[in-house]
Amino acid sequence: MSPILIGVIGIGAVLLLMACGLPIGFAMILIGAGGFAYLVNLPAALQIVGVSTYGIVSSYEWLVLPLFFFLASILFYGGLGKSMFRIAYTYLGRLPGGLAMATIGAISIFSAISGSSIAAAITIGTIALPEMKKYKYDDSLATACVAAGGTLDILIPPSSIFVVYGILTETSIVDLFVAGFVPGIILALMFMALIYIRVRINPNLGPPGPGTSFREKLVATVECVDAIVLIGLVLGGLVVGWFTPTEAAGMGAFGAIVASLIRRRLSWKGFKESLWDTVQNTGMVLLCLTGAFILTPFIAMSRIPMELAGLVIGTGLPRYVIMLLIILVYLILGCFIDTMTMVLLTIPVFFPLIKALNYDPVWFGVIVVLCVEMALVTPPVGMNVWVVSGLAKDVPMELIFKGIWPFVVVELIFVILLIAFPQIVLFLPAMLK
Amino acid sequence: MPEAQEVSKEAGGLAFFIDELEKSNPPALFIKGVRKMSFGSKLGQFIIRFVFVVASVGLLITMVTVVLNVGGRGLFASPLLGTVEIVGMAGLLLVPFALVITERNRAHIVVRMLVSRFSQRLQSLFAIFCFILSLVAVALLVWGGVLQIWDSIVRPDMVTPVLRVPKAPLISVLVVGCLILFGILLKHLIEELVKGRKK
Repeated sequence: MSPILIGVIGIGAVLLLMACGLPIGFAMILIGAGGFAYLVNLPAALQIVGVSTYGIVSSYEWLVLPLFFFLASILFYGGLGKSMFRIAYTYLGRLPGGLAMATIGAISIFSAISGSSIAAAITIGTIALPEMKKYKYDDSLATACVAAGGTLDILIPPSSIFVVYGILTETSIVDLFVAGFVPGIILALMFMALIYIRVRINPNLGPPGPGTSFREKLVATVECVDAIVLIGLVLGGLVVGWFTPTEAAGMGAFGAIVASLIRRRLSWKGFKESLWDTVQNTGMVLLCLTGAFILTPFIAMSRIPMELAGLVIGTGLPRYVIMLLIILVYLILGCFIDTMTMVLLTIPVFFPLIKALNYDPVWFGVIVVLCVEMALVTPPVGMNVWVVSGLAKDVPMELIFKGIWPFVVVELIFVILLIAFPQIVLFLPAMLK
Repeated sequence: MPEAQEVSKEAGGLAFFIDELEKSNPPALFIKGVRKMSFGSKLGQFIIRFVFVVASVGLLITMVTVVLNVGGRGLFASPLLGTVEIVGMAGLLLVPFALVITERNRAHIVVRMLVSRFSQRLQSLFAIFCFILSLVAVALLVWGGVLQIWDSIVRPDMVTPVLRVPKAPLISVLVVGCLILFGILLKHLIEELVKGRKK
């Protein structure tokens, strides 16, 4: 059998084992090691397993992920989400659909410190959903804006998906973070505009809340000052070049603990629970990463990425069409596969093709993250929808999915916009160089 | 659960020792003497608590090392020597033991869409099949780790570049974490077998 055929069978086997319910990390380890042993030999495969596992577990770069998870957990258990929602509410609450817009705004602020979309949806959703209920917001709009807003977290830096993409493709993580910032803000504004237009058309969807005085705005801003300092520390430090991503995450986590302690928001129990959550998430993600790093040498040995690149370019299709096809693959996969797995499985295959087509790796990283965002809210997997459904138990899942579609359409329009005008993504990294 | 313990005892494996106190909430790990527990339960609780503490210490060392390095560099123009290696070693405490906690909570990333549509009996069969494959995958990790340890022992140059710490003990920590993970998986497999027989 040719190596390509072995590679194709291997990828099929990974998908099959995943469908059988085997944890994705274990599926990749088994097929990666087995395939490499078949193509080369068993001692070489075991060498790959040993070196890759030790390399990932003791990697300074990869440990950025647990630190960002820890930062998000501390923010969650430290109750910082409340002040973020309050500041967004005081400025936007009096507008039609203002509470929903404030939810998007609060998630955007939260996203600038945290790198976990689920943490964002839970933290802000816990506060925003009861408020929206109180002001008789449409259930579908209220829940959908939390679920869709939560996806902003992986686009607005820091983002765990950017970290994974950056290390897999050897692209600067700082460049990716910087590149994600402007699209993240634009997308948040587009979400707000969508809410505003929908509520203007049908005012019953989200009645305006009571106005707030200047004093209330000032108090809310002061209350949020620690969050603003943290954003400055994490993002500012990265952009200015004071910190590496790992250092930014470490400083952010430390800063969040200090801020929560000063404000007496973090109890000992909350601290232990944040450690527990972080440890659990670390195991979950790093097993997948270990699997991906064992699977990748097998995929490379099978020559699938190179052959695929040659085959696709050989068809003579315009590169925009190829890009649209890749996005279509992501959208389809996103309906069935978890976001991190999707990135780990597809990037080793697609990235050589992207390079051959002369696309900018930073720009492609942002496109991938946007596609992954959609996967977080599209049925039937739609992780964020499941999370929001857990928060709003009285709202049927179908109603949340019904409310999600306008947001998905906005995201699709935005992806097309970024394909047509890549400068939206690339101007800030270029300017800061 | 009692049946699972019985089978575990008969199997005589590590699974017998790794018994969970509670299925869900972490704070339950810190409640003392709530009810009378068997030796196996106590030991299982101790192991999970130990694993959690080790992983948490690894995480906190990572954070503190990074903060000290940034502080030293920014305030005193004197970064912490060997930061990258210390963080790497802390990672060896954190990640392998974190895998154990994730498996203990059955929180690994799994696609359940297809299997969840099958009958209970078929689901149980798939679960057993997956636990066996998971055990093989972890056995591969252990095997790869042991080969790395052997490599580090026979080659004296296998030390970290700055602090000159031999790699063999470091990789051993990883292997120990994987062995505990193997034990937890074995326990889950036995539980699933018992559950499957009842169905």
